[in-house]
Amino acid sequence: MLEELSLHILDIGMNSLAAGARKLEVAVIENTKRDWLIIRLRDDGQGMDAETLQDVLDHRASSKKGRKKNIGLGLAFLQQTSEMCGGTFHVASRPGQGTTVTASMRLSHIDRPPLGNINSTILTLSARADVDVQLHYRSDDQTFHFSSQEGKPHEPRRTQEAQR
Amino acid sequence: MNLEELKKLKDKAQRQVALREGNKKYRVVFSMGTSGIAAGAREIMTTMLDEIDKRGIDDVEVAVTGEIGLVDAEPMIRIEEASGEKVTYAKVNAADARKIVTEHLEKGKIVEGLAVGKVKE
Amino acid sequence: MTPPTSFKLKTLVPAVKAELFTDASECEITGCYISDLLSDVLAHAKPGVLWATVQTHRNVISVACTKDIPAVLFVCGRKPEAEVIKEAEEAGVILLGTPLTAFAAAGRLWESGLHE
Repeated sequence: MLEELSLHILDIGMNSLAAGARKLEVAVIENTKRDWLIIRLRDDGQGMDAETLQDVLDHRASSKKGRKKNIGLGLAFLQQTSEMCGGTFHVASRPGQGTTVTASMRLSHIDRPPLGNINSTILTLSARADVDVQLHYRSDDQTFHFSSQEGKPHEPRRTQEAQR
Repeated sequence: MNLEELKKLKDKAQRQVALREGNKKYRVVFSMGTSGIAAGAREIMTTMLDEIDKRGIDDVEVAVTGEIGLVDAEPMIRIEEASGEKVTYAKVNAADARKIVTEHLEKGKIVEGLAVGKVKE
Repeated sequence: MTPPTSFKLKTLVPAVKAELFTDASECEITGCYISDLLSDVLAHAKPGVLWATVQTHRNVISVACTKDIPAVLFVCGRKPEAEVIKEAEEAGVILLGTPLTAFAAAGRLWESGLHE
């Protein structure tokens, strides 16, 4: 597990970039009345078939002896944190249709890591110019929305010659 | 979660738009896999971006990459120059990050002792 | 630079009243790292150490593999699930347990000469 939830989001967001995502939507929903915190990451990357998904969730790639490059460890960490905090964890993925990771946990659980520096996480993921990184935050009655493609400079105007 | 803090995100993102564009003299690649993140790579990147912004350095593009596989050398940064030269820095802390900006990116001097690899293609 | 002194795990077992969970039991130990935060171990533990923790989650095995940690000592009487033991055996990671706290276990390991 990682110290802040926003580091988990960064970790899994990096998987999305590696999967060729052009759009990554991060949702963080806090509900104090029902005592839930939900984190959802949805990307439009290459996705995984059922077998690959199972391998990743079982982190078979990482349990072989010796160091291995793996995507599963980040997911395994968030799964551990969710379950430790009385929540659930789910990954849905289809080849060509992207991947959605949903983690829920008890907001007030004593072992629940703080959300931490979500700005830093979103800015880090936004380093890719061709990816739209979005943050939807909702806490009871407050909402906030961000898209890394907002405020993108307009396409340069075509020269007069080109326009003729 | 403080909504005031979140609102700063839009301003900061605006300031970093230029850093996403290519064809610059330097390309700074941050290792941002699970081990890098666990070792504090996000904070190192934030520190470097702050320093780049503070100094008004604009000939830099930033990028992030997944696991490089050198778990014990994180946080790692690779600086790629338009000339084809690549320099890798390992076990970078906040002070090192600022030094890399002032020495390497501003003055073109590799920070010896911190650099672990240098390749010219 | 002199390499750290290495100890056979078997010589350290009596000091911490350890019980073995895996069939494998032979390895060289060059130090000890105590942490219950997996990201901390990922970032700071050195290869070859004995990792002492209360965490018995299967992620411990993945992290041990990634860091070349040959053995994990579960403290405070914690015992891993059968599934975790099986994964450890497949991965070549030795698992042991001690009724001692991390502090007491550390003290005994230090007295045995493990100083890294």
